Amino acid sequence: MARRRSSSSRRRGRKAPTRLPWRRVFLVAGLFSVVLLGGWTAWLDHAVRSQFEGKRWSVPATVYARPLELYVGRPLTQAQLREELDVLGYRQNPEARGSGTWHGSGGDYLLGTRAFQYWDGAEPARRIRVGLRNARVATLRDADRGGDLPLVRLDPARIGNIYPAHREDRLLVRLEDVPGTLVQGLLAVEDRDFYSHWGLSPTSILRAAAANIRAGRVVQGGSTITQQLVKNFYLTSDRTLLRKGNEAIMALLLEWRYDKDDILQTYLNEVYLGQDRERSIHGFGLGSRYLFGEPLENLPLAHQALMIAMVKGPSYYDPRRHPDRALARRNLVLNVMEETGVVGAAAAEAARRAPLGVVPASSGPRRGYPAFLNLVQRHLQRDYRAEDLQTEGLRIFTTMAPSVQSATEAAIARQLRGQPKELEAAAVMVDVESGEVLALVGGRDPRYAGFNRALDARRPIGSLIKPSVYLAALEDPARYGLGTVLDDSPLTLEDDLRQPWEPRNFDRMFRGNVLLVDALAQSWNIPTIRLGMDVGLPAVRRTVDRLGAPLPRRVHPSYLLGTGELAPVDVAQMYQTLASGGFRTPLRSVREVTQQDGTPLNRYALSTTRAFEPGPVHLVNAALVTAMRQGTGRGAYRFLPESLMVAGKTGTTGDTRDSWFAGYGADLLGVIWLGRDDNTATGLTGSSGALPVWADAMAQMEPRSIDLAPPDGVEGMWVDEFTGLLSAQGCEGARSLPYMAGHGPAEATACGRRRGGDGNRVADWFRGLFQ
Amino acid sequence: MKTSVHAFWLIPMLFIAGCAVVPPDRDPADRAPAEEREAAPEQEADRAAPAVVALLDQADTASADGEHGRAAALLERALRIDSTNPVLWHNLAVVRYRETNYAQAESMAMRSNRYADGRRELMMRNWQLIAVSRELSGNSKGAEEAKARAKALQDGGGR
Repeated sequence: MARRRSSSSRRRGRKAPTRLPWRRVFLVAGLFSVVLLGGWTAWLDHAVRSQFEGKRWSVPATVYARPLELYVGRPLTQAQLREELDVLGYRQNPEARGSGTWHGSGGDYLLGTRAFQYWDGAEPARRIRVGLRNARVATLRDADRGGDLPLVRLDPARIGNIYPAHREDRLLVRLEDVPGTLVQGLLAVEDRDFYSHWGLSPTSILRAAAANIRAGRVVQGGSTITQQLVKNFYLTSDRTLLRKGNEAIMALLLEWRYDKDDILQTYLNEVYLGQDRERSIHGFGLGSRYLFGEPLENLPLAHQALMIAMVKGPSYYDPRRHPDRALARRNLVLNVMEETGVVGAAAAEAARRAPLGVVPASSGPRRGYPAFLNLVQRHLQRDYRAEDLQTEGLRIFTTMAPSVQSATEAAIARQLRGQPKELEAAAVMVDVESGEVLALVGGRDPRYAGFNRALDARRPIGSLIKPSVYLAALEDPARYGLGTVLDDSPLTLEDDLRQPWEPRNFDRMFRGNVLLVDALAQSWNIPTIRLGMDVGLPAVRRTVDRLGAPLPRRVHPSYLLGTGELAPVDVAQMYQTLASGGFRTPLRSVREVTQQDGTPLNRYALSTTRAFEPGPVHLVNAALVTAMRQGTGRGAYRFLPESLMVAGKTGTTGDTRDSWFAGYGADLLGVIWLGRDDNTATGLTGSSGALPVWADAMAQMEPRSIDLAPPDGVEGMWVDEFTGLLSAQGCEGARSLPYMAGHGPAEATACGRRRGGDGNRVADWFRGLFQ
Repeated sequence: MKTSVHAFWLIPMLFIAGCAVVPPDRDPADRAPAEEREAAPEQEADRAAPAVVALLDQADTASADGEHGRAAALLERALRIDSTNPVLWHNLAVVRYRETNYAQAESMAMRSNRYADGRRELMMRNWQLIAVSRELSGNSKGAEEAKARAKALQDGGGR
């Protein structure tokens, strides 16, 4: 730069009239140059500072799955454990030596866990023995010290990042956490005078120049670490002289403004080490994870040397694509480390003999979970700006359970095999008591980050609405019980457009009198509409609202058959309230958010509202268990063991456009939707489409049976299955049903009157379901 | 192990003892539980997994240190292991109460009752907590009802 300016002043000098004294010309030109240079330097200084201060902390948020907690008695199959370890990126190692390793044979597993600092406490790295028997953790021991362990929490699997547009990724490290040999080796190779120069190193420039002249081409760069860092601040990599000049000034400014350790630490986090599809890998912290699947802190020497080797040319020396080149350069680095005394001869020799040790590509987030990450971002929108999520390096601890997610994805893939590719799917899996979303699938291809049907496909829910109609009725036990007789005969109403409307049952039959419990279990439309009109649309509407689902602006009689549109996640919220006995718990996907160093920012605590008395909810659940045992959900038992008690409801909309199923055991709730994006017929009912997907997924996860013991205020009674009158055990047509205490049928059958001692009347209503 | 088992039963008492101190103008019935200390019934040991006991201990320490957020997080972890354990729900109710989140204190105590399965002592404490929480959130009619429930359990005899 200085050269150019002096030449321009020479030119001006020649053109100037000879009368002017030379001295004045020089003075003006000199002053002009100083002002220009000063201004330029001030501008560069500003650029350096803003880049250095701003860019060094631009780190996308890391999103973690829920950690796997191991304890004796925990339900866990071998397949589930292996799935969790796979998502965690644990590697097989016969002795499970080193963190992030495992070995398993039979049901006996040896795990080398990784240390992890949770905000509520630290988990150390340790070797543990886990014995799995009958799909449960049977033993849990410390493999080195012996002795039972009450509880081990593994590190959480990284399931993704929240990237800004340019998708740079980092895992920030502090200088003191980086192995000393890595730092010294890096300086030995890239910048020996780092701790003594001022940003530029004339000796290394001369050394590089000599080498380049000898070779006749550019083989060596004389850039210091500081210059390389400055170079990274530019996005272009042109080699003009102007840029070189700027770089030199900025390097000097950087050294003047910041201390050596600060610069070195920033370099360690900034250096570019490779490309993982659309994500660029910056910094040794992330590089270590990306290349070796290991945290930087305990990386062996050979791995450290390989990363130092890659600094010179991350794609040229990519150990996955060019292992020979990478190995040669790594050993060269080891030689330099040995020569400069960074490591001893024996250590260097051992490292030279070690294999490259890189793990297969993309061991960071092993798979994409776009639908779930989408949900996480929506939940966090309330508290965080998108920019903060992209740049502040936040850690987001979510509720996603990798084994549940993969079981759900697998069930969809299996059950939709052979279906036309236009058939789409969505699924939501929820932990009943906590409302935590364990898995979310937004489409048939779960890796595709497009339209998230689990959150955004609002579709008519069909018969999934019916439990709210029946719950509204059963909250008034003086008028309705499960044995109430409903009228299933032809009915004419007015539709939204005031045209006559004759609703029909799915099978187009009329059955005359039916019991309320069967009308729900068999999903008969006509008795449901009669019941809903009797209870009143406003009452049904209020019930849906209390269950936690959004409401349409206006409600017509057809709403009772499910013309209201909901997204699968809304349906999940609604059924969560039923599944937990009337306690509405807002669905959550995030447990905590912390800063990168673990300082807590937000905790999303469990919160719950008792939306319904336990009694009426128990009655609805009883009817939905009946639906699974004897009604529209029977097909589930092709997948599930007979002994498992679950509750659920099918839903089908006009011309089979939507196939729904929502169902639950005591601890796990699942909602499945199948349909086409163009909203045309699928040919699938809730029973033939969504139900097998749900049952297949549930069969892999083995939920607990629903507790059918009646809560306070509910008792079993014998009821005549045709008339709904009070009956007694042993009477013909007697059937046991739960009732709100004191609200059983007022009249009894002749047999019921004859035999009806009190002891005979109270029954375990669900015993009949096992017949 | 033995001390852990005792701790398991004592924790709810300690939690309640703490909360009974806070409201200044309670009638003596509310304070009563603080003075009662029962020996641990043996079946408690069978019911609680060691993992749950370990987390309960940690939650107790955190709560004693005034770290309510941490205590709540540890109890939520324990609930993921044993979601039908009424003592866990009760203790979570007490933590919420200490955080002055009375609506959640009430809801959690209700959930504890859902799984209390005839344990009158625990149910009584839950109703007492519900009564205090309702009163502090301005629902004095509801508080009276809850108090009556607690009293009925007390009069019906403890264990």
